[in-house]
Amino acid sequence: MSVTATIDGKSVDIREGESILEAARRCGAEVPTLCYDSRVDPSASCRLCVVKVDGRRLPVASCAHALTADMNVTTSDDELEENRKTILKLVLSENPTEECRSCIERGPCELHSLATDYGVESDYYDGAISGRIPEDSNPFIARDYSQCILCYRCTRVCNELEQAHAIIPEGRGFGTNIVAPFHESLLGSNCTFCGQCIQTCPTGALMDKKMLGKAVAEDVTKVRSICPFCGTGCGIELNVAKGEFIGVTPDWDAPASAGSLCVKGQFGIDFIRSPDRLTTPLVRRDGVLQPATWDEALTLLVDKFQTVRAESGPGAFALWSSARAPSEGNFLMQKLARAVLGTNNIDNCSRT
Amino acid sequence: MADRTGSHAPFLPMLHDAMEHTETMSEETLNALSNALRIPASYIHQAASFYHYSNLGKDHVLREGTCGGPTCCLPGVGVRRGTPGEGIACPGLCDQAPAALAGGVFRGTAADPFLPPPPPASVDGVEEVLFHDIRIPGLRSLDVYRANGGYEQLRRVVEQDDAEEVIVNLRASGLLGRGGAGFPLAAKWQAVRETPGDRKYVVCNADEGEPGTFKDRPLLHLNPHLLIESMAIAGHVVGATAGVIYLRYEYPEAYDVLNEAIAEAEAAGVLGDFDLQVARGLGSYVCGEETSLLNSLEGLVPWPRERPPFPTQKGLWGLPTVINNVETFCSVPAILERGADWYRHLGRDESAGTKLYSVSGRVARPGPYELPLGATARELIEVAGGGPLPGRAIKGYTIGGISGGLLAAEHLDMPLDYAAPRQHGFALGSGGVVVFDDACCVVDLVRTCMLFYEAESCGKCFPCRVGTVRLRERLDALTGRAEPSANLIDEFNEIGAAMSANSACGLGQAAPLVLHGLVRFFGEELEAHRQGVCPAGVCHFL
Amino acid sequence: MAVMVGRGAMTNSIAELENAKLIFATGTNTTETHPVLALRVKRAVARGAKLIVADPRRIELTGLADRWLRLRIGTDIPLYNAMAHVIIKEGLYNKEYVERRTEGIEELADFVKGYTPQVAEKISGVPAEDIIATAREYATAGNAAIIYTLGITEHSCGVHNVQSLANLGLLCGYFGMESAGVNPLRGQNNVQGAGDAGCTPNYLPGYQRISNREAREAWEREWGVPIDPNPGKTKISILDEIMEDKVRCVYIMGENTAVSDANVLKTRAALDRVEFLVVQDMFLTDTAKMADIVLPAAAFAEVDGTFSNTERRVQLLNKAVEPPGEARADWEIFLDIINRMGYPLHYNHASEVWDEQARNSPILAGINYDRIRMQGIQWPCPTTDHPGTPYLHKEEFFSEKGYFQPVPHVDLAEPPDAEYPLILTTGRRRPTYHTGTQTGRVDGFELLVPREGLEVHPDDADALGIADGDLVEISSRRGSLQLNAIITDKSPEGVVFMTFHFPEGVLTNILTTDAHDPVTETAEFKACAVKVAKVTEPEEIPASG
Repeated sequence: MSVTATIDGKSVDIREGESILEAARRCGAEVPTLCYDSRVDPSASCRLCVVKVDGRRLPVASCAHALTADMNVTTSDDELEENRKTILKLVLSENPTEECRSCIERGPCELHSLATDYGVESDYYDGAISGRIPEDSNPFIARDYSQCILCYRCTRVCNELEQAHAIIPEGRGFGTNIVAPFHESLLGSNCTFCGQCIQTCPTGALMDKKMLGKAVAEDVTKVRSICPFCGTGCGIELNVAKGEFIGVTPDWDAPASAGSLCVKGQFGIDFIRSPDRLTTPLVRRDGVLQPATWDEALTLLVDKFQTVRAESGPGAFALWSSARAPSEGNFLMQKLARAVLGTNNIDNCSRT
Repeated sequence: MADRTGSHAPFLPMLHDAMEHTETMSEETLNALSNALRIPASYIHQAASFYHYSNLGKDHVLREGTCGGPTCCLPGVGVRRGTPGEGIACPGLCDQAPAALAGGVFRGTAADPFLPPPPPASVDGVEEVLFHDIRIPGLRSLDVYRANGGYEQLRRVVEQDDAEEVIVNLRASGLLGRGGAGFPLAAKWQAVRETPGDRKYVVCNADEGEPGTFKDRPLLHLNPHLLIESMAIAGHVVGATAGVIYLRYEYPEAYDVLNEAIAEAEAAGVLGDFDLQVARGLGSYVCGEETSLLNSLEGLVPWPRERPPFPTQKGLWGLPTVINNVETFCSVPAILERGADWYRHLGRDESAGTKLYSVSGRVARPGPYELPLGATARELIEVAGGGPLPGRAIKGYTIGGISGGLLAAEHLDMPLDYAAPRQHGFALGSGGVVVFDDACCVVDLVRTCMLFYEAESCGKCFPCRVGTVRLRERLDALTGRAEPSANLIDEFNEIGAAMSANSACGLGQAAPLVLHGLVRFFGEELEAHRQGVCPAGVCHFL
Repeated sequence: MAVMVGRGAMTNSIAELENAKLIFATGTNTTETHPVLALRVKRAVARGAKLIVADPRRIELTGLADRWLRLRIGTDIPLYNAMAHVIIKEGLYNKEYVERRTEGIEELADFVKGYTPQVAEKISGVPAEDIIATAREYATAGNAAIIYTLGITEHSCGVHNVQSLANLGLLCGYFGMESAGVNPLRGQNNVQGAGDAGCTPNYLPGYQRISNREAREAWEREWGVPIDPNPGKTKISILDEIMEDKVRCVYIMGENTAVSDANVLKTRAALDRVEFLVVQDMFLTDTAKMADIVLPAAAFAEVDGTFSNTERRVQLLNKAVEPPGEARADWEIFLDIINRMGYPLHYNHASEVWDEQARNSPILAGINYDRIRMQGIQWPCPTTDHPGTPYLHKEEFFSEKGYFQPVPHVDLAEPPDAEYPLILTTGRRRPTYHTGTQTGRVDGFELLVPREGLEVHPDDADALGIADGDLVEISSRRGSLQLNAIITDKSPEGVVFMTFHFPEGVLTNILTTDAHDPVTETAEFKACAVKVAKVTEPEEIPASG
């Protein structure tokens, strides 16, 4: 029995559960999509990924159909490309953007990348536009549906992946709006501000409000790191522009989180640039903590430690390390305790 | 909130219950529904806000409006439609046009909206199958139905317990699904029968939402037991004990009729262990698409599903499901009674059986008619429908309601069967025919059709959601509402092509067909409109 | 759990949860405390996994659950013992596994005989039939994962809670099985790493007992100094030793202990008393304010380093920005101090600190910065060609065998009584973290959970004449404070709930008891006796009790 199919004339092995789209991309075919996010069930909405399958009267949405044995698939021909181009023209006309804020700040968005590939301009078909901008004072998610293409990735990620059930398409047809039911603002809705809607958005409709206007894409570098809050250890990318931390994007390759984040990891990192940060050592003088140099502070500290050790021995010391600090600091603190002060009185704050 | 735990598909009944109590649905009601149904409130909100006649995400239940359908908007019938959103979706009263929703009641020109008239007398020489008994007074009641041979076929099927034999018969009869796609009934039932599973469903698509189509309505109103018997037979054949009739919102009287008939049949014990329920829609054309219908029953937004899997494999609640429309089901008992050969030969030429056609618009005797499958448009219009209005000349007609295509008078001798319309890239569809004459503007008619598609597009897929609007806007321009663009025909063609090929369901695929007909067969009238002239004098130019 | 199978860490990986056929979540408000990890649970449920939740409080998970065992606070042991009773009595345990890999089944069987589901129902309030059904489903699931957090461990019988729970996994052979296991979800980002690094009084780095001569000698060779073979003192003992003036210097890194400790006034008294207090932190916390010297530390984003997550995965931090002012990386501060103390030491980079830790820790020996640059590695990872260990105990336990631990039920350390008739239980809310040192300084978070409130059951509120939003005073034997009431049935009658995220308004841990587990010394944050009264004459909410 055959366990292969043919895509664009090439023989392709069948893999359990793999869609035509995934298989086609695996063997190098460039199939455009706008509504596809591999983490949620395909919705087959954008209809850009349609391909021809022998024996089927109409082209099929490759994202939503498994590649099966003996299937003969054509991912590209003049007719398919012409219709894809028309759909792109239609989509671009639904909510045309003069200046895509995503392209400017995050780098070319999926929509405008495709538009460039297909040489399509946004004002090709004039007509009514569908998007509206909700009055939403929430401090995290900037929602501008005048840049929305209603691909429903945000609502699917919210409902299927996060299961937060905060936003949903309301109404029907061209009048469909993305809403938080009964709430104009996401504040007060079911939204947990995980920010995953922003991360899946293929246009500038959903943006990180905290990062908005902070930098242009060319100036941003992303540094991989790990979220410093709970024990899950989600992967994050610290976005840095001109030496300043400006915000977080998920690390899609992180094994524990696979691109997911919660409100703390997504929007809670800016404590690091708080004006409350300590910037110099402080020493208590006349009962008051006052700024000091490192040399002053550490001289004082070491003198005291030497004195106490001489007087009372290692048992007079207790060191409590931090379950929030990196392991290297923890290791050296216990080395200070065991190897230098000579005490095993080293503990950490994991009990609280 | 009423206990609906025994319901096969509790969402729609519970939504109706909830709507009875509030003018605008509150968050509390929504949450109560969510808890009772164990469906996230967000999904219920999305689903409920979708329907024309729900009050979720809207201020109130829609209770007033005139029909915006193609028949009711023809000159001399109703009013010329203005802007999108105006006018209600066709409520299937095209033979009583103009129709309207007034005080929450759908009514046409008939005196009593709750007592629809039986179909007009049969055409001489036509042997009726579906309408054979329909004019018998009191047929709604179990006694009268039984006195005319009702439930005999169900009894025989149960007694003989030979499902294969039934399927063999149905295959021999050549009966194809009358919902539009024309899939062989026997093959469908066979597929469900052979799909393993303890629980299966029989679902009737009584969501007759196609404009210009009103042929299931008399069956539902006047001969409910025929449908009930037919579905029970289907249940027996495929191994399903649960059935659901998905009834369109616009047929409220049928809801009572069906429920009473089911109760009567159950009380008399004729249904055995087949448990049949009626779920009322809330106003949505796309729910006539079978996978949207299933989503609607499940309380999900009624966007179409991708196929495969087909409902025969994964239908209602993911279980094997027979889904047929009213007309298809109702053909079964007669086939079983009188034989496959008899039925097959009722049709013309290669076609098998009879077809219910609806004819409306500019004809003398609009109505639902049963004719041999394959009767020509001329027969339907001139013989059954009484021909054009006095002094008028027929200019053209739509088929499949409006979703099968648009033809000109020169095509009147085209057989209304499955094969002939395909030569034009068209389809028989529901068998509805809307007739227009020299007093009508074909461009304006096409625009009315596109307004309908725009209003009914579910919004899931890009080509349909945006394409219907862009096409209608270009038709706006042609009919004098804006300046037409220079490359109008190119735009029609390319948008239409993308919609037909790439749309997710039949709505978007079929929506451009009327436009194709316009471009191909009414080029002169189209060109006149581009020059700012409406030959029929219907359109007013800026 | 270490007593039973040799390790107390999460046995399995986070991603594996998605493929569990049954998840038994107990004492964990996962969606609030570990939102991203909770997604795996949600996805497992969406894929058809059964979810059974044991929790006194109504939480998001109980809404997703197939069954909710609403046990009374502090009655975990009889519940799990009764499950063990059913599993053994009905012969549902994995006999081959128990025979081959465990010891003590007879003792356990004998011991849990008395814990019938009916007895457990009386104690826990969970219907006997639910206990039986849960036991059966758990044992026959094929692969079932237990997850738990502080609802289990933050009790004076925390270790016993864990052991009675782990008995179930051992009975059914779920230790050493993919998408199964018994999984404590660690609350803080690097709890695992601090433990890995040897920051406990009785373990050297890599979980090598201080009493283990071989391990000690390896470190002595590395460091060139002798190591005290006796375990050090835990934090709770130290507090007493401070009061006795035995301990004179305390050095605290990155911990707001003056807020987060149970019975926090006792901690504050000790920190007040200690002769010399050094605090190293990013912020001038309440603890830092008490210090003699405060050292400014760099944040995670300002250093290279590693965190080990709850699934034992060592992951790399990369320096993204410069620390503010003169703040320095923790390790650099210690390096400076160590040198100044007359112990010459030099590292070119944080990776060299890690390498030193790893090379003398067999479970970490194969991990280095280069290997974890793209994805972390889960220990044990003994060699540089070892891929790491997604789930533990596959072939064998760290201990020779798996040892069942029969453990009895004990009452709460401080049960409610006539004077303090309610139980206060504490917990966490998603948008806020710990003492608010960090999340309190994030723009916008104030809009999500603006301030603390006391959750009171409607029936209790009725009895006490409290309306939603009323100012109430809550008192325990240790102190009292005032805050606004939130009327909700999330907690059962007789139980009130609050977090400790907002110490500036509400210093929750004034109330909590420092009664603690004798082994781990973890305090019973999850239950102390309190009384609540409406404040009739409204006054400003005081900063502390």
